[in-house]
Amino acid sequence: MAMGASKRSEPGIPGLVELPEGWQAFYAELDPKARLEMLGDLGAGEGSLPARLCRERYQMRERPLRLVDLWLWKCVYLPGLYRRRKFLRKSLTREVEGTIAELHLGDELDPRGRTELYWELRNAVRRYLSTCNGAKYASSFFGLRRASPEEKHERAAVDVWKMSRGIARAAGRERQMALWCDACKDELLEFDPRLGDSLLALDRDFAAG
Amino acid sequence: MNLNSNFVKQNAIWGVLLVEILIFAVASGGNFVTGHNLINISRQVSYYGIAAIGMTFVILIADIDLSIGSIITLVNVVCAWLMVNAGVNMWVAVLISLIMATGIGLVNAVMVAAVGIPALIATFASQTVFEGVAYLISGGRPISGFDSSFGIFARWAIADVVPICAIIMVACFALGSFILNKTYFGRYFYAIGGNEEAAELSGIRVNRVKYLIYSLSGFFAGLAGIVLLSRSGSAQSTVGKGLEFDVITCVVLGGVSVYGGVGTMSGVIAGVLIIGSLTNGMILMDVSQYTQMVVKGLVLAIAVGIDCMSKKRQAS
Repeated sequence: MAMGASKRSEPGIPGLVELPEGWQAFYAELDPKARLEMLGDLGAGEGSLPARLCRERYQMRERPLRLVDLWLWKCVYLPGLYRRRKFLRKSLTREVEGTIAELHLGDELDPRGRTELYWELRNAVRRYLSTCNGAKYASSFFGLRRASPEEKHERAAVDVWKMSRGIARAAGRERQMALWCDACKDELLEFDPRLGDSLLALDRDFAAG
Repeated sequence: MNLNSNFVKQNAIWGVLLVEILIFAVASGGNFVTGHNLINISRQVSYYGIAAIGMTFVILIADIDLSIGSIITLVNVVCAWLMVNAGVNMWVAVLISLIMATGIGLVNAVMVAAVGIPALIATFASQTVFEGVAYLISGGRPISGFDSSFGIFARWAIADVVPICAIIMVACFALGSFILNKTYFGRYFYAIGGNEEAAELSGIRVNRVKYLIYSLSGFFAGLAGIVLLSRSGSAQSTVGKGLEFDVITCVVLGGVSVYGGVGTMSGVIAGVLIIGSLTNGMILMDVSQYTQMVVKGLVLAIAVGIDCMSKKRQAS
């Protein structure tokens, strides 16, 4: 099974360090409540980067008691924005700049911090991909025709490409969004290793206009 | 070369409209492109243009609203009945009718979002119910004889050139475009259409958004009903029959995907103009109503077919 595997694929990104004992499980867990509890068990202080990232990701400033997932929102919103990129050029740039700031992609981080950020980003994508096996995902004709598992995975590849490489290239922010793009790609390949070719094809299509 | 192909892809729908206008201009011997006929087209497209805005929102979240034809009928009958039989002031009758139409949209939303009935079945059921209600109120007879000032919504025109109903339609499209592109709700529509489960987990209250979308669909269908009543000057229990298919054709033709999450209001405007011109052109060329039905059905099938093929191509 692709999702829920306890052993996570290691990134091939230079500058990242190995995760300390116990943190693999934390980054594999998808339930926000369980993750917040695990933070305490792992001895992460309030000011630590993983704790800060979780707070920012799961808590709305206006309603701190309501658990949401603002990074998952990025995963949902960015593919839609990519599709409308021709009509919303200014909005696209503004939103991408906002995403870079909210996902801390422009922060100066040491290798440990960069590693923690990378795995947190992968966790958000992992949560998104966990919804891609749902009954309604990629269905057509107003929910009457359900998609096959293969169709769902192909659609997931398209969505993940749009929310990462696609939007970064459309906004000309590939360098700034590199860590996000790598996290998306690595998590997608863990979800279904056959989707690497789909990502390459989407890159080629984009280059061809 | 790539830039050119991109440009063609983005503007293909407007190219189709242009070709259609040219064909009808030649075939009708110039009658199609007269000022009078263009004003006529703007009047004809106004009511399903208005209804298409609500349908766009619904299809964007990968649902469908089959009840809009019967909402248009019911609004026609109720508004006319209130003015003629109950002696209610025109503006009050319009307000009551619009509230009722919005309420019907909300009932649809409750069936879809709270009860969990598939949108196709839920809105088909309400289509049947409200069509029946319209017959019960009117007794199957036309209702006419209301004040001529009710013509303000469709028959009146500014400087005898720009019909009020066209202005209403443009204003509604501007509002629809604003909702889609400039508000959080617009983002939610695309997000729910793209991946409903992820949208829910990210914190969007999906059911509440569906209540809003179906209510808006009801409201715009109600407004379309008012414009149609104003144009025809008499309420008929069959006036909205089959209108939902014209509206769906406009929306899908305009590039709103039946898979949800994809589409723009500008595309829908082009779709509305294509169907409006097609209908008008066929009338000018004396094409029978049955043949018109065949042509419109084919256009819907082609539009959906293109959508499906582009999805398949993307997947392969």
